[in-house]
Amino acid sequence: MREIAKINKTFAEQIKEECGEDVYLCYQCKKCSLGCPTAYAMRYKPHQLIRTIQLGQKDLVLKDQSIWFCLSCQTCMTRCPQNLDFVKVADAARTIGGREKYKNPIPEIAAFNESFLFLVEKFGRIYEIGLVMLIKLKTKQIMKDVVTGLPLFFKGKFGLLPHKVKNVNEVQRIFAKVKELESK
Amino acid sequence: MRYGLYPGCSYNGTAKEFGESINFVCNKLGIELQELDDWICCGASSAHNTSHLLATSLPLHTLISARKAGFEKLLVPCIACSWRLKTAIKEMRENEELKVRAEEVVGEKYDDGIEVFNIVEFFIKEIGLKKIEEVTNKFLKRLKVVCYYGCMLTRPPGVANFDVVEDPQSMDNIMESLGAKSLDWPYKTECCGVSFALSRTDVVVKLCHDLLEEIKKLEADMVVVACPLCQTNLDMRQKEIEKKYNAKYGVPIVYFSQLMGLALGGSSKDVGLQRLTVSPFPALRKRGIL
Repeated sequence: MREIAKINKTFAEQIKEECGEDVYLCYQCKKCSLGCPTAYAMRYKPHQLIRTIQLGQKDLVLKDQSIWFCLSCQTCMTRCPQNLDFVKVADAARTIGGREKYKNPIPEIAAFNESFLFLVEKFGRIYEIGLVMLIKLKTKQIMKDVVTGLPLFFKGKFGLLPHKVKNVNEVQRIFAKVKELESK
Repeated sequence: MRYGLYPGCSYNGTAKEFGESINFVCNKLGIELQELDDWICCGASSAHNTSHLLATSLPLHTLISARKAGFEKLLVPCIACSWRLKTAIKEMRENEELKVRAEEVVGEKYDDGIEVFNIVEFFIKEIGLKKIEEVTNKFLKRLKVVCYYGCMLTRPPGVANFDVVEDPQSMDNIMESLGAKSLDWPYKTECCGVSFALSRTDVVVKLCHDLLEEIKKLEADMVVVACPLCQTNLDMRQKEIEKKYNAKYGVPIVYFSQLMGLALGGSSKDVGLQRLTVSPFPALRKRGIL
């Protein structure tokens, strides 16, 4: 029997598999980009990112900063006449990028996500001052926000010590199990 | 009625006054809130762009432990948490495969028996405006406020299932039932930049500047919010924004629950007013409230 040539999945198919959203629904009305609060900072606006995914330009999406500027504020998906959820598409693209070892092009956001999940896995909860310190170390911006953050400290809003949940082993088991299931 | 409380990581930290005022108000209204024992983080801003399964499993752990504690209704004051919990519930209903996988991660089955409320929704649906009006006796009359809802209180529409998506009224209605005058404005559901505060602060500064410029035109006494991130970004960074844009705002950003607490006879300390960066005291004194 002849073997059928194995065709690589397109980026759009990968996105659909990851989050269920069909990017081919988009007909480029640009409503998403017009309402997007961070479109000003994106080289490719949301509707252009969708078009880029339709055309299979994976590197263009995953090596650029644009997709990382999505705040998940949900304005785009609320207004989309085709009910295409751009936030889910952005999350799926960012997840695929991370899994396939694309480097996050915005170092501060990479530092935030790494520090955030590290703390959740370590303590079971977010420990705010720890989060700030970790991000400072990772981005080498030690003095950033010291003046802005100081009042919070004096107003008793920053606990100095982390709160570790009792069943932290349970949290670590969740993280490990997710990794195990996802590697299958 | 007894409700479960999932406070979220900011409740005893940067949003301490949010927690204090909610506890005070619920106590006064005879609502029993019981914090879930040894709860864990919902994954918030980071899990959802790293792993869909992780972003579903962390909230699922919370939902299951709320069920085990015998709750059917869960109050989730942090808007980011309530977004993640409501999203997990909806996605597991629609996607059996995801539910099975997340249950495998957590190691237990979930019976879909929890209803999650955000904090504004909670007061509107479970207490009702009529009762709020009765017990507070229009205490805040003469106070002029602007209600700022931010992104997640009403969005995403199929998940939040609360209020009018792009022109919400619920917080305005609560303020009116407390006696305050609530002003209409077009930026109610614009975004403040949320967790970018700790990564791309420049984005938060720009978005909050846009909001503050619009707020300034309204000449309100204060801005009323219901989200820890909206509050922190607009309040704590206000000085920094004034400096960068050479502007002057000095507008207090208070939680709606703090004003409810005052109207229910609480002192400024009971509702944590001293913890705000921009002091609300001058405005409240000017209106004869404190």
